[in-house]
Amino acid sequence: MTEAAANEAAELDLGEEIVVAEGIHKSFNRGQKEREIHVLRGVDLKVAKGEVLVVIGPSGSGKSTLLRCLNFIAPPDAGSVTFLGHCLTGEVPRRRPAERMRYERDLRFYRTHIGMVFQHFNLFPHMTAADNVALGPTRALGLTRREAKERSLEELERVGMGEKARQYPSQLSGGQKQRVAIARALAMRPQLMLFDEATSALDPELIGGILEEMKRLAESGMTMIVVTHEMGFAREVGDRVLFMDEGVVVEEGGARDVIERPQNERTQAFLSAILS
Amino acid sequence: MTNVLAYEFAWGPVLDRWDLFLLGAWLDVWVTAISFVLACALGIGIAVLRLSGVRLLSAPAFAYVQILRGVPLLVFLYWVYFGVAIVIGLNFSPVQAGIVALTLTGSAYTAEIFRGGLQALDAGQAEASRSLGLSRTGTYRHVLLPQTLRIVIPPLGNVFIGLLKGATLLSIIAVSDMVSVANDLNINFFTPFEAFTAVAVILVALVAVFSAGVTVLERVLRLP
Amino acid sequence: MVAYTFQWHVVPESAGALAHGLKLTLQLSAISFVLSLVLGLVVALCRLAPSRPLRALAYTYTQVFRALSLYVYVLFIYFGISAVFGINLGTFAAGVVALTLLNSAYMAEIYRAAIQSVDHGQREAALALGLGHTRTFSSVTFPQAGRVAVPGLVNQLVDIVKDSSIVAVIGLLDLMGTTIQLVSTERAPFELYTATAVAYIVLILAISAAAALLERRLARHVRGGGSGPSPLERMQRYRFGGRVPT
Repeated sequence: MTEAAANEAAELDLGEEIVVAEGIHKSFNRGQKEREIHVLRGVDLKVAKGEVLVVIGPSGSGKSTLLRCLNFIAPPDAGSVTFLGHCLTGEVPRRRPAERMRYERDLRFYRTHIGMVFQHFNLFPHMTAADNVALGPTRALGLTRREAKERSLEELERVGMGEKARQYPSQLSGGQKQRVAIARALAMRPQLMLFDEATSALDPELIGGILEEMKRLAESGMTMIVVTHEMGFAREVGDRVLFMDEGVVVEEGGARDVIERPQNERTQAFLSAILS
Repeated sequence: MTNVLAYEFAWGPVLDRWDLFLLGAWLDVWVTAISFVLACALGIGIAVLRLSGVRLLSAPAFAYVQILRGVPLLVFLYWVYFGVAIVIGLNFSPVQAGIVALTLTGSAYTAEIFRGGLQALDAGQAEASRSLGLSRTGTYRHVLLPQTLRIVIPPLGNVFIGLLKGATLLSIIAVSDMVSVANDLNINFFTPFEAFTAVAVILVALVAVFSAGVTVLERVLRLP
Repeated sequence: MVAYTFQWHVVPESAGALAHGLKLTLQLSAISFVLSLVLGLVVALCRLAPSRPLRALAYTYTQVFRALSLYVYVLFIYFGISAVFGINLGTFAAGVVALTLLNSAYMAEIYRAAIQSVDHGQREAALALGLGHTRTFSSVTFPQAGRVAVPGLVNQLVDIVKDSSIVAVIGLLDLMGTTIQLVSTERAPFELYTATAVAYIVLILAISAAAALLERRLARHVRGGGSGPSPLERMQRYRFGGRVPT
């Protein structure tokens, strides 16, 4: 799709859709014949404001990569992502400095307005919880230290980590780390939150608390894309479910419909395996 | 005992010149310090180029490290002081030539250390930083390098000590460091054992002090 | 820039002498390497021995001989020790002694770390099978430790070759010594030192390549059989990294 056409499509959807991804392709080890892995093979995706989209699928199906394409941490090889009316492709305009600058600015716009929570938390071990949360606001949003500190404490308070603000990540449990990571993402006041298997690395008894936190966030009206294996959460909190396998979207629909009455064979097989 | 060994121990000349030894040692230390700082700066740059993912930058950085690691310091020193100086028609002072040779030799080691330190970090760190909207430079400055620093301190300490030992080679090109003081003593008084013992004692003391310094620094920077 | 006329023709003209020097460098390095391998292992075993005085002695050895630079040892041995004991060691022998003492101390530490990196379970499993302590060490612990140690030990050869150039200072006509001598007669320092530097680079790249090859072959069978030592290998080499041979 050309950029002009993508822009047009974006304008039509504006106001409804927060993010629209079209024809996303992504390979790793590109250009190295035998090692090349085609992870995403033409994925389309739309998320409306306030919607919670749950992405499920077997491991290696490209769910995590899809999230990384949306905020260009792993820029797509082909396809476009339209976010709040800005359209970007993975192609970096290398020639003209002005275009390059605009591209970089757009990238920052995407990343500052899209929060991301990772499977392994990815907290910065050399900073306290409060500093972890304050880094983005000071360095990417340009807040003063004091403003950022206030915001950081506020967000930590919100996820119940106010007392741990001065602790380092190594002094926190897995669940606490993930709460801090959520606060870190929320401190950017994002329009969209991406959760990449946020509970997969947690001990079983800690999963519930984080899911509860995510549910609260969804109820507050946050737009979310959640990659997870927690089917209970998907059914209860998700508005729509997207089932992916081998780099393509196999089935898509209302959360309850897909989980309780999957139409596609592969979806059925996956769900019966995971629910049994 | 002296009779058995047929060697008259004479510590007098050494003890009389303790101030010369210390002055010489001081020269070794500051030459090392300057070279070390320069080697670190150069090493960070080369490590970042090496990890840039751009073939055009990483290949020369790789070659730089491989080539410089293959040149013995003494050969480097002679090459710079006698060879390069003539070709470019510039008269290096021996100390300048020493600093150039030590810096370039050291940079090959520091580059590998910084590269290892940066690679040791989890890829998620850079991802998380970029997902917060930090620029590439911001990511390096606030997230990657502070963590790398903690990893690289012990091996960098080894480089510092290595450069200090290397600095004693400068006496060969007529820098008046502590070894040259010992050499003079050896020639004038024929007291090689005493003279080089003095050098050994000073060097061991310096190495011990700097090793302790590294340990302290490590402890100060250690995260809970 | 001052116009300088390169005299590269000096290099091929001196090739014979340089080759002779190179041969001496290789001999000096090889002899010192083999002696260090043996002595290093002995010291490492003493460091892990049950006897306390033995351990202390081995510890002192590794500390003392890693403390100074080769340059200082060479001067000390060639001038100091020779004078005190009234023996004339000769430059080659002085070089071998200095290189061996210094590098065996480093190698002892590599051996020790490698032996300690072998999982405790391996030793326990062997002892449980009824193997004696010596047998356990020789057929279970050491073969595994050896694989871990090899890359570090071969890297030590790189350091030995580089360090050996310092023996030229006391007049040995190795590669570096020959070059210094040639420069004084031919008056072409840039060309000759460049040639010598290139020779060292090629030699060291060749050793490194061989080491990498060896490492890859040994790494094939290290994993598996329970918690193997290979993850530690990286860390170790990391700790040892950063010694600048002088």
